[in-house]
Amino acid sequence: MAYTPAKTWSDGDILNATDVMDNLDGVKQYSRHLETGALKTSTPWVDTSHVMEGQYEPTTNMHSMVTGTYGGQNSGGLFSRATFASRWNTFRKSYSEQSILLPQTSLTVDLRRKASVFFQWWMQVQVKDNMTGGMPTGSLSPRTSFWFAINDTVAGTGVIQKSETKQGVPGPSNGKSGQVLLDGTFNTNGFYTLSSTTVQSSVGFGITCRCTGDMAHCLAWGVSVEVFYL
Amino acid sequence: MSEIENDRLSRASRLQPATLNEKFSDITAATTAAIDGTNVAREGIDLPNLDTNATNGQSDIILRSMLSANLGSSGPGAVTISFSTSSSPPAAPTYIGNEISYTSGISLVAGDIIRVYWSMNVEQVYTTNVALIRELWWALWLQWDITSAARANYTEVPGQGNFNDDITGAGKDSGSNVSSMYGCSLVAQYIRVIDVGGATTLRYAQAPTGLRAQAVNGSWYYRVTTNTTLYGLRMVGGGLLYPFCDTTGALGTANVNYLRYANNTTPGVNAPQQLIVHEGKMSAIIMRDN
Repeated sequence: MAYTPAKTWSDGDILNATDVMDNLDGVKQYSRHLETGALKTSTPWVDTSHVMEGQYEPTTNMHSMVTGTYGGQNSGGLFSRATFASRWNTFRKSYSEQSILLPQTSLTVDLRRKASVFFQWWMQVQVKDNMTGGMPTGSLSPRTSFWFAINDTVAGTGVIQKSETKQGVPGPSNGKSGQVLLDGTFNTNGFYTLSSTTVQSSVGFGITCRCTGDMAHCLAWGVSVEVFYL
Repeated sequence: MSEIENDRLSRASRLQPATLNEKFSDITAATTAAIDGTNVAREGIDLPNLDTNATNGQSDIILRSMLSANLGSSGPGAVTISFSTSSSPPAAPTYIGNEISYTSGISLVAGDIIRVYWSMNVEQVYTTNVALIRELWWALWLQWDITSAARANYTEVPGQGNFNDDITGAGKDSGSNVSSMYGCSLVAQYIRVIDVGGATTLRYAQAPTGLRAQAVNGSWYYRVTTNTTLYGLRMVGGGLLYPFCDTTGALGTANVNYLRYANNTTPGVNAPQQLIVHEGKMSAIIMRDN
């Protein structure tokens, strides 16, 4: 619907400042609340020059755009940013404390609108046999598991590990002298989707891990997040 | 033309009602179904100007849908795939619940992009009492239903074969051309390796303890070519399959690689041969291209 001035003057009318201001205010209000009927819809007219430019954070490699946020991290060249899980840093005093965040695999994003989020990761992992012996009770071979986890700062729930995203990585049988390239090298891919019904800042997404072996060496890895506002 | 152009009021001249009214009627004229890019400044459109979804950001502008389903359950043994004792035709594949369902269907428009991801933990059940001569694999593949909300007519997604149609005929093990495996993940049951001693030998991907469960993952991307309605997506599994190169063209075209169903007369294949699937997840993202 087109803009309609509140006041239309006729001969003999008194020119009041309030009438002029009402009309000008009407223009301002109209321009901020455009209705569908006022738009030219026969052909698309919005192009990228009309859309607010996004921001890029080179340190975290995150793009924040009108349409959403996306970015990620990877291990770079061979052995440049490898990470690991081990029974030495994941086996602690109680079962609930065995999972820890896998170093270098977490991303922090701001959810500026209600959004749908897609997080995914890939990793190449090598698990060596346990030369030190002393496997935990019930374990017949080294075993490493990875999960998606979220740190919801609004809910204040801390790091929540999502059990349905488990990625198991076996290793060679305990004490077996095999080739790690043959018997202990695996690829994993995991992902998680969620809908955020609140606007939040500083939401953390990452990978948690648990390992019963001496070492699960994550040779190469990558994590990414896609946030959709539209 | 939607751009508004009018002159300033002239000082020291009488203010006529028509002159003053024109300042606002110009706006009325320009906004009569005619606002376009000329009226919007560079970078003038930000999120507040857009019709966002109040719940989850799935506004249909870029993201149309994002749904997930758990595959299997949290414990082992949730879904067991047993090997097909017949290879021509093979047994129907095993459904790996749960499915992703679009209750009333989602209308896909040509150009829409479907992204499906899946991950599962699997364990091979194996009994060794027959000499092995072939590598054997399980296949886990994606199906969709584009027929009705009943979701009773699942078929393979475009680019994915059903391991049954590409090779037909009496006595011929069914299979799929490996070029028709875009929506598929493979899990080794037996694999041929070079042992540390240097001799060629056969080993199997054993899982005798339940501790060697490993992750298997896959994805399928597809740009919709014709308008259709999608009602569901699901994963199925079957096997055992062995690789075969048709060097002579006996199955159609020479030098085509297939994965074909083995049967219980295939050396090395005997009951029980199973794949247990648990702790899995599947997600489907549908996006607009333009």
